[in-house]
Amino acid sequence: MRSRVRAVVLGLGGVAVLVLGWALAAASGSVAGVPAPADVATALGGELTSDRLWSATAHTLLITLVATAIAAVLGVVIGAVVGMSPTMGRLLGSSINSLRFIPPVALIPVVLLVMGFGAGSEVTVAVFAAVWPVLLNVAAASESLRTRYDDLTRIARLSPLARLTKIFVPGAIPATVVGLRVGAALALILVIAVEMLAVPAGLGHEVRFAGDALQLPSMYAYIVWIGLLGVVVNTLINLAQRALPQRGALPAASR
Amino acid sequence: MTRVLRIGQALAVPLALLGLWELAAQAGWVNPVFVPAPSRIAEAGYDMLQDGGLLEATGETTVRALLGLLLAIVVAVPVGMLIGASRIADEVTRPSLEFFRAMPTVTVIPALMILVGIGHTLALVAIMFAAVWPILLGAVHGVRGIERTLVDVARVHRLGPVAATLKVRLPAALPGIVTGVRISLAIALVVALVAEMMTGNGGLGSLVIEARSRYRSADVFGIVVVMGVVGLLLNSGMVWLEKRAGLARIG
Repeated sequence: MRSRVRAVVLGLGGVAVLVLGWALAAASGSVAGVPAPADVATALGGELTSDRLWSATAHTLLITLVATAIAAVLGVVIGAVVGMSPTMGRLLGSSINSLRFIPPVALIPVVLLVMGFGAGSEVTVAVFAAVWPVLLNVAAASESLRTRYDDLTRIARLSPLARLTKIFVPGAIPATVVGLRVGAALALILVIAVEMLAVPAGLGHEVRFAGDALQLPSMYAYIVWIGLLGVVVNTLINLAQRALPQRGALPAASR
Repeated sequence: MTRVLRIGQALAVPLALLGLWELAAQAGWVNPVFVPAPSRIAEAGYDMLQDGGLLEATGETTVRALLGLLLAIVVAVPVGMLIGASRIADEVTRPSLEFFRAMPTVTVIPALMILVGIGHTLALVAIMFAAVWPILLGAVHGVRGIERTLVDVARVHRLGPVAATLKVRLPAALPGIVTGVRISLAIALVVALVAEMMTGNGGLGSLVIEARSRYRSADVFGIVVVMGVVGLLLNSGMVWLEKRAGLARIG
């Protein structure tokens, strides 16, 4: 307990030193284009009481959530099929291994071309980013479950349905959560990138807009806010991961 | 025979999908202005390769991503190992580092556009800023995870601080560092492309935005394929390096 208090105090001290350094750099005027932390705090306070920040936050988070959910369903289904059936693995493996290396941002121009400048484009790009960690983790977990429990299923004469509900589903949950953790973070990055580049909505758009209007304190306020949001999303997923049972097959490589 | 069967299985689905796509575009089930046929995309890609612009842009993006990653490694490994060597330093910096790692780093690009302008340095600085945190935390974790006995071995052999760091700490922390570099490699390519798309300053990102604004759909799809190939090659290079590093550790 004492060591945790110590860690929190020291950590906050570190943050304080960082902000102090920022304040000194801004006050000295040696770096042009950096507003003082006090101005950013004031701007953030102003934005926090305005509708703009909250509606942008709601938009970005909603899109991220929808995209993560779609990626979870797609990733689990395709990953399970590929991992459980060697034939399907050979049939789909080549497509998966050529598509997954396309940097998701590369898809932005194509998606804009086909789907236009709306929320659908944001969701599509984010799904494409978030699906791979889930799919690959679930595929690896299903494959190791299949090989590991092959004899058991034969001896116990489990029906295909029992095999699914008793072995694969409980066994693949940890892998799914690990994949989702990486996937959700990627989805958030991509949603913000699409908003900065093209779709005029959400937090990414607000950063770009404030920057283009040279409202520096406001822009930095949004950047800090997005950083805090990233921490919150990460913490929530960590908590969810800890709440789940830690048994099952966790693949060694959890990319 | 089995080998032929395997190759056939691997090619079946992609070929079927491409065939269906070609058919859909030729028959007009999708609007070929927005979704061109694969044959048109291949043609456009060939033309772009012929006039050299595509190769140049590919090189530019790849060099940017790798150079930014290299700069990040050069900064992150020593700093991370220093932080990891002291418990207090680790505790003081932990929340700040976690903040930067969890933050979607593409958001700093508009700020950097004002700080460093939209020249060549922008992409480099942005890539470095985004790529540095996973490696830094990987190095910290790597050093923190070193077993006491290893440190004792270094002491027994009377290694000086420099020798102890190079011969004991660095190899022991290497797996953590490599994990960080692998994550950062993907980030580096993404940030390079976003920076290029936002500033229009060279590379595949600018090329694709330009093609899109002129509604040259086949060019857009062709450039995206090239981006995928770059991603694949960078990843394969990383896997190769990891294997070599693994062998070097055993030998």
